[in-house]
Amino acid sequence: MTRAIVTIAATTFKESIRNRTLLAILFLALAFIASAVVLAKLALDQKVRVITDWGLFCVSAFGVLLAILMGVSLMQKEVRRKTLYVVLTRPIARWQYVAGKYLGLAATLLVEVGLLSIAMLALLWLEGVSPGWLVLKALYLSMLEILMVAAVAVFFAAFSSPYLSGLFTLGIFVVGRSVPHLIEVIEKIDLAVPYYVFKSLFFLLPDFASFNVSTQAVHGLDISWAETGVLTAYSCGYLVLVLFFASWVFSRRNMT
Amino acid sequence: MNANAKAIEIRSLSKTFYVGLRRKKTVALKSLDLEVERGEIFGFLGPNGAGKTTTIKILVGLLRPDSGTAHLFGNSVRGNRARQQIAYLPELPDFYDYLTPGEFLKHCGRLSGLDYKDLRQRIPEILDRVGLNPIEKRAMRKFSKGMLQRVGIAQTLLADPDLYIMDEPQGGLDPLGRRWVKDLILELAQAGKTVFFSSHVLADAEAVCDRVAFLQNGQLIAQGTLRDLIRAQPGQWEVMVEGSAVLADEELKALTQSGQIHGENACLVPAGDAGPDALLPALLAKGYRIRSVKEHFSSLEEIFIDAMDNKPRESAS
Repeated sequence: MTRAIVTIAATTFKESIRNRTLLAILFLALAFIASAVVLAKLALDQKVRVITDWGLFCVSAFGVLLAILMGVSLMQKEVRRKTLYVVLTRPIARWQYVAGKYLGLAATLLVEVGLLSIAMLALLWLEGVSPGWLVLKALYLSMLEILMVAAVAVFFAAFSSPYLSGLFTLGIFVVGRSVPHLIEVIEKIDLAVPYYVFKSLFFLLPDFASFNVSTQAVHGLDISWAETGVLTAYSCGYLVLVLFFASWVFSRRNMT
Repeated sequence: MNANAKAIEIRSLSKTFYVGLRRKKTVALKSLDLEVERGEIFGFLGPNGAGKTTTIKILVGLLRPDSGTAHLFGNSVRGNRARQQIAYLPELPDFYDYLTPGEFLKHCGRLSGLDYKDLRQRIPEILDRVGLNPIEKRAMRKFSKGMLQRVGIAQTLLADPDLYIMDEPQGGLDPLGRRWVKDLILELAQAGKTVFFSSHVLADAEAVCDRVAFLQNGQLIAQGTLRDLIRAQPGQWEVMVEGSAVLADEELKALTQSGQIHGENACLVPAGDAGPDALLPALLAKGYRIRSVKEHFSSLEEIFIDAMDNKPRESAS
């Protein structure tokens, strides 16, 4: 059981990490992070804040972009090219394929987002600032958010086309980041649909907003370890649930 | 594995697809029944869109049938046990862009349950057997279609299964490659393996198959051994006579159905169902020199075209 998952994960990792398109996006992201040096010069005495803010934004934005691109294309590409057929016709369960694919994708994202994070931390060190726990926690939570986005992308890729999967995942990400604002809005206006219906709906959506702590990191507002722990548990639970449904849908899919 | 079970046993298999936004109904298979014996080379033939790939995908567990059953060596195709005994080659496969063939075969071998030690030994051997460099370091995105087909065939050989299911195994190959696939299929059969392959190139099937089945619009329209299918149609006699003067002989015209120049000879087709019995004595009596007399049977292609004209034929098999 484990052998099949590890084999699929290892192959996915090798294939993704060597992918030239994804490498180009990674280099573009590194260039964007490096551009923080230019922006910091314009900000005069706010250099550290600008590097932190811009760096966290780039890590999150490019991480989410890579997660969506890889998540929606990996499985679909294998279906289109029939690579998947020689995998699924071996004595393995389809959930093992989904789990292996996700783990390989997660490993690739850990390496790529890890590199972006190191680039950002290196800029801070060059400015003579030692990044504290706050920035490290912000990067860690950003990584968790990216892993959740990847799980959502794999879920949609399990049954729909790459374009639709990409759109759906992006939509879920945008709504997930806006949940607190949407709740505020529906609390303020009088709606025909009961409030708890919306509240339940928002409960089903991933709460990505809680993982975006760049404002706290930039302004030095502490993020407690307890909060970090809760968010870690939440993200693990959410992505396991999403992958469970992805496996369930994928197991029933006809490979036409 | 059930020792008495057929290699493939399909009963009343049906599959319908609903395509597009309007859910247009497309019947891919209509109550298909088929049996393949162990150790056979079985050709599954039919025009494009006949339902060959749908049947194969059901056999290897990629598609679920609407109704009916399919078993491989007595195990339902829905379970993992059936998949432990097969190797599958999809039609015109394309594999991972950035992996080498060796890495891909290692991936496939691990998924088939082989350990690293076995794979280290088997992978170079198999790459060599399919005509690829055993230490090939190029990524597969740089491979031609024919090379990818060879990689596809290599992955089927890895676990040495009992049943090979191949969808158009000679697709994308040059004449030498096609010849090599034919030889490989014959080698597999000699080793006691069962080979079930689809093709629309009938000459390929004719050269290697023990039995064939013709599929059209999701229905089996003919099946049997090649010999039975071919003998099921009366043969046509051809009498080769030296020189072309015989074609102008008015007295012989009543005994011949047709005649044409064939190099320096004339080829006569005797009239009637009696074959050359009446024509030969007449030719000898007139002093013509007979070069050869042979019975010409329909080719698989002619039988196939005949079967496509909705003339169901089931031979004893």
